[in-house]
Amino acid sequence: MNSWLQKYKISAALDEEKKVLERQPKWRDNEMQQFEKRLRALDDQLKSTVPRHAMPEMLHTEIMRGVRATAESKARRPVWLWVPVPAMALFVLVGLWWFAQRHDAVPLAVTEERTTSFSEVTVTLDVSRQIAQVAPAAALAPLSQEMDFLRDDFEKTAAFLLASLP
Amino acid sequence: MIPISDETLAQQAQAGDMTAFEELVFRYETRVYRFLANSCRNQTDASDLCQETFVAAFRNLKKFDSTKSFCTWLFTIARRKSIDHHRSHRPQRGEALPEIADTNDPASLFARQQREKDLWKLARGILPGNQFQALWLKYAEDMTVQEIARVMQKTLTHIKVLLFRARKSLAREIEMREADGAIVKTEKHFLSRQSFQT
Repeated sequence: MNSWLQKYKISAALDEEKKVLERQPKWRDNEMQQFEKRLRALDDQLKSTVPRHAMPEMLHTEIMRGVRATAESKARRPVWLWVPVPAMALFVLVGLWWFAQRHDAVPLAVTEERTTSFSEVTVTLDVSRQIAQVAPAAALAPLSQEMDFLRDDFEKTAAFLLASLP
Repeated sequence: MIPISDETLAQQAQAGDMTAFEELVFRYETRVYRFLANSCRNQTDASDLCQETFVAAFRNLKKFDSTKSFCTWLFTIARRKSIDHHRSHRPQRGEALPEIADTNDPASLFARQQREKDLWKLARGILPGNQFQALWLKYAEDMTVQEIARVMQKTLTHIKVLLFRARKSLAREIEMREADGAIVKTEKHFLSRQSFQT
């Protein structure tokens, strides 16, 4: 672990262009010195041998063609972007207008409904009153007839019994 | 005459100046292409990604903060493009990375190119993508650790560890190859001596 940390510090020092071993005399052991030497050699080699691939000739033209196409589409896009906004506003306005229209029409309907319901209630009340007058007679009529028959039977029975008495 | 900084050019491009953006393309196209060419599998992909990088940069130019470095911002986009590309074109296991063809190869440069290619080719072959990119940004782009951290969106310590691991792996590999070379040399010398004696 200690060795790993020392090696890491040597590598980190390369990133900051510092010499670690000069500042850290305790690392003057052979392994660390060898490691720093190797890393420095590698560092120099990596710096000096960076491959320089040539860029394809037409790449610049292609890049600028792509960029110009994007710029053109960007310039065209705002028209399309703004279309939904007025459309939405119009839709909202139409909606509000329709709602207002509907709101104005509601009281008339209510009045009509109220008129209708009053007349219906009146008719119902009249009918119920008539029912109240007619219903008892109609309901009790068969019973009163039966009572008459019963009374008649009693009277006949009473007359028979009185006639049979000595 | 003081050259106009990248950030000033970017500000001009933000205001709609296409010439300023083209100047930025001129300044960075080769560097971005080289960075992508080393991360990609072929030249065509690298060219496409390079174009996509600049188009994305142009599209998001309004988001660029001119108080920060344009270079790191652009390389961040390029790196993201390369990651997206790798995700969609994952290489098969054991498939070797192809050579990047160089269109400028006069005979006088041949030997130098071979030397250059060997170490970086080795690095490209043995190092994981993150380590190679950190190494490339450090040595080819001459970026500081802070700049690399910004491009790769990682902490300073993470970048230092990536560079450390990359260096260690490369040094070990070179050492092993040198040892193999020495063995082969000794064997050849031994065989030649034997044939001379017989």
